[in-house]
Amino acid sequence: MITLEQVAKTIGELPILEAVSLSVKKGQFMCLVGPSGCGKTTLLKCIAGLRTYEGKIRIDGRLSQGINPKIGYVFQEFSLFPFLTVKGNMEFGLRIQKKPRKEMDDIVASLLDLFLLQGFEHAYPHELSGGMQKKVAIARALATDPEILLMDEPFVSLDAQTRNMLQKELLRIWNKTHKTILFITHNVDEAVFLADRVMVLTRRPATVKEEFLIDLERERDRTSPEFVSVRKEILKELEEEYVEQVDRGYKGL
Amino acid sequence: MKKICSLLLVILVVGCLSQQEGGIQSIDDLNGKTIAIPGKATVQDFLLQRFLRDNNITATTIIVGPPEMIQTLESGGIDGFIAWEPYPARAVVEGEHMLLVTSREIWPHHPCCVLAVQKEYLAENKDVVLAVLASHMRATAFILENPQEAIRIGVDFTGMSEEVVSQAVQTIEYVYEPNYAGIKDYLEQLLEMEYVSSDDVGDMDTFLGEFVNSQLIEEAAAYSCSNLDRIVRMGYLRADLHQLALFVALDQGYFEEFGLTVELYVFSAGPQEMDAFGSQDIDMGYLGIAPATTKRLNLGIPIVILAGANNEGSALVVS
Amino acid sequence: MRTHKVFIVFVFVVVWEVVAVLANSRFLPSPLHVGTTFWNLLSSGALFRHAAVSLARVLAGFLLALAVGLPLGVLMGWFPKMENLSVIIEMLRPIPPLAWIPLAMLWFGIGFQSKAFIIFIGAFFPILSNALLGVRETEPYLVEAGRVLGASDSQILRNIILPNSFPSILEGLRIGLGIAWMCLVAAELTGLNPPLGLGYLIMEARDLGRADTVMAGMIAIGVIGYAMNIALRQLEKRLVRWRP
Ligand SMILES: Nc1ncnc2c1ncn2[C@@H]1O[C@H](COP(=O)(O)OP(=O)(O)OP(=O)(O)O)[C@@H](O)[C@H]1O
Ligand SMILES: [Mg+2]
Repeated sequence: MITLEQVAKTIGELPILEAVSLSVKKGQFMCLVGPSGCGKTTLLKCIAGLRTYEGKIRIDGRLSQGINPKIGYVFQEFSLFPFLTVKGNMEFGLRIQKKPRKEMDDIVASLLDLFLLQGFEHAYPHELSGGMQKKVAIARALATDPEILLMDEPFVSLDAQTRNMLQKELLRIWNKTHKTILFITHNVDEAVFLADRVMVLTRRPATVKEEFLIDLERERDRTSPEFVSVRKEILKELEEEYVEQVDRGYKGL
Repeated sequence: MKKICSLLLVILVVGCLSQQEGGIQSIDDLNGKTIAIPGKATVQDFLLQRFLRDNNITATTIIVGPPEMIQTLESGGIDGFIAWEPYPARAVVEGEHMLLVTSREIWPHHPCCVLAVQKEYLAENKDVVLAVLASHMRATAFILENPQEAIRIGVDFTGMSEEVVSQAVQTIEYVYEPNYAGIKDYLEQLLEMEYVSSDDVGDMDTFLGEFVNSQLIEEAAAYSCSNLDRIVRMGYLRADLHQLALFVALDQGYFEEFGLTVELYVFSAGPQEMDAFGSQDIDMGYLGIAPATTKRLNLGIPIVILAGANNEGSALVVS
Repeated sequence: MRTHKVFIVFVFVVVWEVVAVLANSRFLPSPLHVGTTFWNLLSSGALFRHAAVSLARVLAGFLLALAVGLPLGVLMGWFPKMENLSVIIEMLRPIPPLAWIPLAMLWFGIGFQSKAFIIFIGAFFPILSNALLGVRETEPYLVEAGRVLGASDSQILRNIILPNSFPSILEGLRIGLGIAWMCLVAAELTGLNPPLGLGYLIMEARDLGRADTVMAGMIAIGVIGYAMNIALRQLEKRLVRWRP
């Protein structure tokens, strides 16, 4: 369970986050959408303990301080360690925790199964496709069995087919592991397909603009009228932010 | 990996320790020591080899520029050096080092520095060459007649103290006649040392007859002219008192009397000066007979010896 | 590929031979003449002795540069405060290693240390700057990825920064070794004890007016430098298989 109370962040003179309050229940899948550059990544890094901030962030009710082993993180960038194999990447957190060899091997084997990556354990990241790299990055985050998974646009820069396939796989894994997931995207379709709840953020400085409960049955159909109508509503909210941004941009000229 | 590391360490340590110690009192103490020469195939290299051979001594010879010799001796890098004056005198006067043997003791009246000219230049500019020769002869006579004045000029030329210079000139025989017999002796020993090959020499007297020109000296004695209006490019060795005649001639304005301007080019040892002859960057020059002969033969650099500058005048110094 | 290279070398030698024959000068000995001299030096063992001494000098200076430059470069890249040292480094770097020769002779004489010192100066800066660069250019998200997985500062340095900078570090070693080799030969051209080394071989041959030996020495230097470069590249290929 993640709770944010009035979280704010300024870098230099620039306010990035302003009074962000939200909470994600245990086992819930929440998506954050917002205009690009609004501060989504910054927010996620604050939660992960990678950034300082003002306000309060609680993990399972306890004030968060620094890195929390309950949290796994998937970066927006292709962030695999290029000098380690798939197996080496998956093991990284386990080695830090000094897990015995046997246990590491078991975990890696089950992750390879889970992500359908069998046979690639000795490949280096540069030998993998973009989609596979993203999968390994998610597997690396899951290896230490964190309760919470923070995912920063993990499927951006992938083609539509791969993206759809990985979305389905993610849901499959979420069903199996019951992780709490906070997932950033600026693809509304993706958010509606994946999330229990979608938060729309304002343009920078980001704050919560609107919340949507996605009460659709799982195995969602992207073409169903309900899906399309929720999507439209969210898009409208989001576009407002872009229009204002553009307006402001012109005025600023 | 460990083995390689320890091997490297051993190399390092051995390398650092390999600089031996130990003073030298007598000639025999030279055995196994390290002695610096100004260059391979220099007169000093030649003299040292002769000296070591005559005394049945083996020593390591290394090359150090004469200006660095005293400093290297004092830092322990070498045990002794052989160089042209005034470096030995300076080491004795200023550094309280010991003069172990002079080149006079190694080989009395041995020829040393000579005045050489580019063969082609001689053919085309005989008047200039005669003027230089005449000045050289006059300057040599001046040194013999006015030793005190010559020492003053030597001090200016070398930048060393009067004490050093006056001690140094004592061991130098200033001459101008080319020492034909001595040069022949050199050549024989250069052949023996395999510095030059007999294929290149051919018949020794034929070669020397062409290499050493003794007639011009006589012609120069009678030469007179006052308006040559020419420039000659002249090489010499850094602070080599053997070549004092050049600086006396400059100081006394002998060249000017012929209407001759001398452009000076300094070198740190004879072999380098020979390269400048080879690339035709100098027309004439003072240098040691040994490098002149060696490179005349090995590289075919066409020079002719016109006159001697000095006999003797080198010494072996130890700390 | 290989036959192409052999062919190019062959053409080079032929051109050299033709020019040498046309010039007909002792200043430019023919490849055949130089080859004979090279072979004589090789079979008498002289070339090996010179090369071994030169290599020992290079290795000593190079290892010293590695021992000082690598940690210093890594620390300067890792601790922002250490970076201020670069003021001094950047002022020392443009000084050619050979400009240190007079001081090296004053401080260390003409023996082993003096030459190793020149090599050290030559190899130090490329090793240092490449290590520094490698560390500093490690993507920040790799460091953060380590942090969220629970790695401590020292674990991040050891398990992420160092392996990630390894190609850059190796590149520094390669450049450093190349410069070391070049400096060595120049350093051997002046005051030198013992009188061995490829630079010395060349200087001695110069004094004696033996252009063929000068060229044979140059070839030996070129071949060894080439071989060292190839060896390091092979090493890099084997150690950095993770690079595309
Ligand atoms: N270290 C920093 N220094 C200065 N400004 C920064 C820094 N990090 C982020 N910012 C600024 O903060 C704002 C928010 O950045 P952030 O990366 O959180 O946005 P985002 O919503 O994740 O964007 P995107 O959709 O492109 O991923 C941006 O305008 C960015 O320029
Ligand atoms: Mg972002």
